[in-house]
Amino acid sequence: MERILVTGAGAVSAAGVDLAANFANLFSDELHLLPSPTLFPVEFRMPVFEFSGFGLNADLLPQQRTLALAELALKDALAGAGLDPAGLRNSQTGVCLGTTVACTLNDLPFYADFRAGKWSGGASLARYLGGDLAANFAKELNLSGPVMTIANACSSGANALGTALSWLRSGRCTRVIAGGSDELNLIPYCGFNALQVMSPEPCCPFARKRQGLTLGEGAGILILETETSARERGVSGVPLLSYGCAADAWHLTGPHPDGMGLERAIRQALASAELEAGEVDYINAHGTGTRDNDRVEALVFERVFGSGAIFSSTKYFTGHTLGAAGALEAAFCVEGIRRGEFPGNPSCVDPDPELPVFPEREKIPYRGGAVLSTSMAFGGNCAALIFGSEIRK
Amino acid sequence: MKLCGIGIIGPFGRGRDACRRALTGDGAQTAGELGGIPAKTVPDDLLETKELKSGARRADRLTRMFLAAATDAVNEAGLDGDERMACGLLLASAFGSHVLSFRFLDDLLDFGMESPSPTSFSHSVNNAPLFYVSQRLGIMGPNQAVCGFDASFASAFGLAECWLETGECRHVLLLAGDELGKVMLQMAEKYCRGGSGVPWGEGAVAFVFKTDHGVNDEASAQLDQDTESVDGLADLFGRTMMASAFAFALKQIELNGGSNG
Repeated sequence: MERILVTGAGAVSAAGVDLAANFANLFSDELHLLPSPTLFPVEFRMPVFEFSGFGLNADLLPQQRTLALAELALKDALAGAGLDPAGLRNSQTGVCLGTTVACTLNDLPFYADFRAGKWSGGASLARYLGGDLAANFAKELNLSGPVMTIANACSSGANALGTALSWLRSGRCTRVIAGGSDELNLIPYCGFNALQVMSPEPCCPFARKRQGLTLGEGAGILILETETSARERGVSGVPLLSYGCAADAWHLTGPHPDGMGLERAIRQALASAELEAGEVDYINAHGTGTRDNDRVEALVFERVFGSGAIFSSTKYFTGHTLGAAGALEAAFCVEGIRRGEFPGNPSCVDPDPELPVFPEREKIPYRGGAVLSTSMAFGGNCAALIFGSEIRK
Repeated sequence: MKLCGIGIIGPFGRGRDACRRALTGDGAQTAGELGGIPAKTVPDDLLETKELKSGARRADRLTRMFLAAATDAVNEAGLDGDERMACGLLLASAFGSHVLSFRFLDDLLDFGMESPSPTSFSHSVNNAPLFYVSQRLGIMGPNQAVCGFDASFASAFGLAECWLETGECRHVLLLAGDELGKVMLQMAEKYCRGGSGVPWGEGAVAFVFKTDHGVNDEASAQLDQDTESVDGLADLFGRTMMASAFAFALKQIELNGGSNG
């Protein structure tokens, strides 16, 4: 089976305007955190990670911002892959993107007017109907491959990468633009608060004092192509070796207490890549900072990888970017493989003693083995992506 | 890939037999209304059964439609426990759980940002119905909700083919459907006029596909059919963005007959 390579990766988040800036920030002490959102008026204050960077107008309306974040990350990814957007025209390039915000009509001011009988001209509805992320990319770049937008809550980005892998392996196309994007939005801000899983302090995954997640926004876009395609273009790439996905079937908002779904996803990915657990150098954990998620992940890591499991969560620097998270973190894995090191969890000064394994606090050298990225979502969806060492041109 | 189970629920009722009766003009639902706007809706008594409410007390109408169709399809396919555990699960919906989304917005406007219902929020995510289907039927393989308006079903159908071809699973349960809600219906009436006076409608279909190592292009070939040429589609389901899914189901039922009793 031909290998599938990540030839370019882009990332946009509060931690940086592109992948290089994001990655550098993961090793710093800087937290680009705000005490509460500035993008929309709020009635309560919880810290959030907002993106602030060139090319993004603060006046962008709901859904426009998600697309704009994705486009910034796409530009970064295409540049990294050495691809000219004009050169993709009519090519067999697929698009698979994950999101949560962009697939719902959640414009509160528009709806308030609507309820009051004020017909505002339908612009909000038109924006929603025209806001399919993947379809927008495909139209903008004039692509001829398969197109799909996935709405699987917090694993959407990872699921999009897994879908891209399936498309490429089945020969439906030779290249896929895949990833995820989500803007900071009032609805999840209020929703997660209602569920009482938001932290009043910056999230500290796996720490004893962790109180929940901190919302963020961003986009992660990866360019995946067959090794043949990469070789023909004379570019290097990081192999996406495998993808595992399983359902917990336990609770709509909480993981299975024994992590059954996550374990199955990880073992599927290992089996598909023909790897033993000991061949995994590093795990980028979902690590949201909620009591349940972190406990279950640590449990599963210990069970699958033993007491020496090496992992960290990057959400301390980016927040939980929902539909973008799995893709953003995949981009970090790819960049870490290329640069030879991965970030630690500096916020985990006092790890939760009830966890069987603790994350690394300091940076982690890459030893040339496999790298795993895990994602877990509402609905019990669990995803695992495994990357391999870079194949140079 | 080969089709080995179908479930269907719509304004005409639930199951293949109800569908076939409606196609012959016997039992088809006459147009009702929702919020004063003509609409074809799934009868409430079909969704308020003990079977559908058990273990899914908080599930919304859309989820129960999917549960009904999925249960029938999986039973018809005769999947055993191991097969269900490894079965893939896909959901295609043009608008997802929009009724609950607007209910959440109502809470924000009526009670303030600190007092909305957490249940409305968690159930409004697009993949919430997948959870209930997964839990109720023991379907625990790869699962995804696809959103792409009227392109959702074709996308999900293509992915089901892909999963079976690449061996990610040996069975896939593909759900497709949409529900009507007063808000979206009012918006549709206001901003999306046309459609020859056909009322908007709702419903859900479910298909169980399995790997077929023989040559079998029938399933994907029929997906390409022009939905407007499928008799009875508008009568049974009304106007909907999931027409391609419902058309595919009707064609299969026409070919293979009734049951799901």
